[in-house]
Amino acid sequence: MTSRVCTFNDPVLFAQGFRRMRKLNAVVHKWEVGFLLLLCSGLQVLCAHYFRVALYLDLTLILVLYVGWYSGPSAGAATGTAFGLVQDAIYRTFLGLNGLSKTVAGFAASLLSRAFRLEDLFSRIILITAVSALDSGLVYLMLLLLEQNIGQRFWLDSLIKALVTGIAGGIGSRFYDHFKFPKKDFRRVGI
Amino acid sequence: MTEFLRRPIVALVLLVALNITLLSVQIRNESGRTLLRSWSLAVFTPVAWSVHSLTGGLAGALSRYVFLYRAGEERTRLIEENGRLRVELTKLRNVEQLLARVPDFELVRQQYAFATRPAAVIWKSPPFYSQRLLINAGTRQGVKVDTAVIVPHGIVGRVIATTPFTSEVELITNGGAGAGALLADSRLQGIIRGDGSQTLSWNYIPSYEKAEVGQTIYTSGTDRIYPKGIPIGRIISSAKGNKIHREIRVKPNVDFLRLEEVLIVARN
Repeated sequence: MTSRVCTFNDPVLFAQGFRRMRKLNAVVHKWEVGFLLLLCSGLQVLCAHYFRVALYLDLTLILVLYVGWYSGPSAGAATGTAFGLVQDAIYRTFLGLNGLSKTVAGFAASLLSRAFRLEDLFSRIILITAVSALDSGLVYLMLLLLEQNIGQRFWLDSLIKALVTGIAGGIGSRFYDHFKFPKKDFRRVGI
Repeated sequence: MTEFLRRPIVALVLLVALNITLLSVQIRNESGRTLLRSWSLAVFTPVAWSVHSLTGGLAGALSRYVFLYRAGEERTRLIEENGRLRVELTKLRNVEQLLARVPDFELVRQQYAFATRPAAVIWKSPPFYSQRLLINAGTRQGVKVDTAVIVPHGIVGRVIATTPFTSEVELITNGGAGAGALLADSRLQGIIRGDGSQTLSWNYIPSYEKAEVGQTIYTSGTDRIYPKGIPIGRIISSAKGNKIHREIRVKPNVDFLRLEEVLIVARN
């Protein structure tokens, strides 16, 4: 009797294995995404009106990356679109500008979570900083394509934002992980 | 299909396309058109050009080599027509010289003075969708938005969007298109409007005025787009309608379904 082993040569078994793995890692629930979206929107509205310096912290990006790590690429991209569009609506920029960049960020986060071990704080900080820079690059590219004026401080602001978001995002997501999974065996992640 | 849509890369492409569409709908270019419209025109233009060149090349080859036996007949007809036109031209020159002696004739003449540039129709929209066409002349040839497009026997429409080498023309029969118009005999003026059908409506003509079936109407030049004196069409129905204005339908002189070449008006 031959036993069927999941290999990359058998697409059906590979897909089953992939689905099983995704179910195991599906630790971010839909209600949680909704809650994070509401929380993020509320905080951003407050910051946009009363504390503009806080906008250097791209909370939307951190949450999109967090959801992207713990879900599939499609879910990461969809979350990025939803969060980005809300951010555009709050900042009163062109609808779709952050939507586009966050979609790519969410998608990239999900793919990168399979390639890197993100349990380490330092790797999280590096990854969030890099994706934040990518996010700014995409926004810059879109503004350029749409023939819009770009501020002289764009790149300086983007650099500060990437660093602030990277450090705060790394620490914040780590803290949230410990709060959410107090007894998690991190060795099982990334099967 | 569902499995296909669930593929991560498909989802990413769809979501990115959604965001780009949202962006391009909001942002407008210098001529006030949305970027989506400009982009779609820019993408579509090379396709229309290729199809036009291909079909034009084939038709040209056929007419040059396959139907060459009709050339002699055609030559005779053209010589005859050329002679007739020369006579007409001489007569018109005489009339112009006569009118030049009238004081302030120059002021009047300027209203009728315009140059034209030929262009070929390279694409037509399906008539049931919208009444537009694409011509092979753009900003490089001096075409601007709101430039009038005509043929010798009538008006075609106006340019609504341009690219360097092509322009999009809205036909006069399209819903919302319009032009100032006057009746040849009585000089009665109104506004001609398209409503998406193959005929036009002539509006704001008081019910006590006479406008009879068969009469020709011309452009009045009051819209600042079409030059004065170009024929538009013939009245095919004229009813009293409501008590204030007549309900008049006009059949355009131009057969839009068979349009192949047009003239672009360059105002002096």
